[in-house]
Amino acid sequence: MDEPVTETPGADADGGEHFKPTGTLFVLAIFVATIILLWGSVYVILLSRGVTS
Amino acid sequence: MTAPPTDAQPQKESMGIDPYERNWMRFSIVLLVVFLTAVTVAGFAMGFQVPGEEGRVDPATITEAGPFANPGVRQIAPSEFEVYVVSRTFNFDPAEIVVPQGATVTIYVTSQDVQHGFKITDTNVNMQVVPGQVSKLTYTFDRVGEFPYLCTEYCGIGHAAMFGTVKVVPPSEFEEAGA
Repeated sequence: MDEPVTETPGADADGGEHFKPTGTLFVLAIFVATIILLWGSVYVILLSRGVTS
Repeated sequence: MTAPPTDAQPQKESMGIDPYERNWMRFSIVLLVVFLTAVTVAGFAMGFQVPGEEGRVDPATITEAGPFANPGVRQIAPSEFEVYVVSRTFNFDPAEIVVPQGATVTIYVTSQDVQHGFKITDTNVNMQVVPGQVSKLTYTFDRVGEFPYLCTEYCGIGHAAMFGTVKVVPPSEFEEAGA
């Protein structure tokens, strides 16, 4: 006899768990902000030091 | 009974990419485009160039003939200078370069023995110095001050002591010194 199928909250059509990875998003946000700040500051320093040709 | 899938929908789902992963891929592509744009703007619109190979010399004979036989600063126009620098373990010749503020200086540097580096601090001048090859960069010194130049390629036990100084002085002082 088949057992009754219960719907899991947050499950998608395939039955996979679909959740919001808040922690991962937080770490990625820090990573992205760091990349932008470090790379941006290096680029500004490059421009401020003048052209080499 | 479910309806058969359409042609478009199954293809989209078959990628099996999570929305977060898809957005991360989009962001990565955008980041690469931003980097490429920034480098392209600096290189082609603003004129930032990397050092090029200017020519070749024989390391064994550079002190006998040619411009590197008498390294130093040469004034070629009112505010334009050429500097020929010979690198060897463990010093630069000359160890001091004096130019007036606002001078546009073309630096030619080569090595007499092993591979060295030539970086002037607080500027974008940074070159590899390879024996047998002449590296060249042109830079305008707009600020008065002292700018040490260093060997940036480990070349032996005296590497840390291999340095010199670019002294940028006010034009009046440069004229008085008769440099």
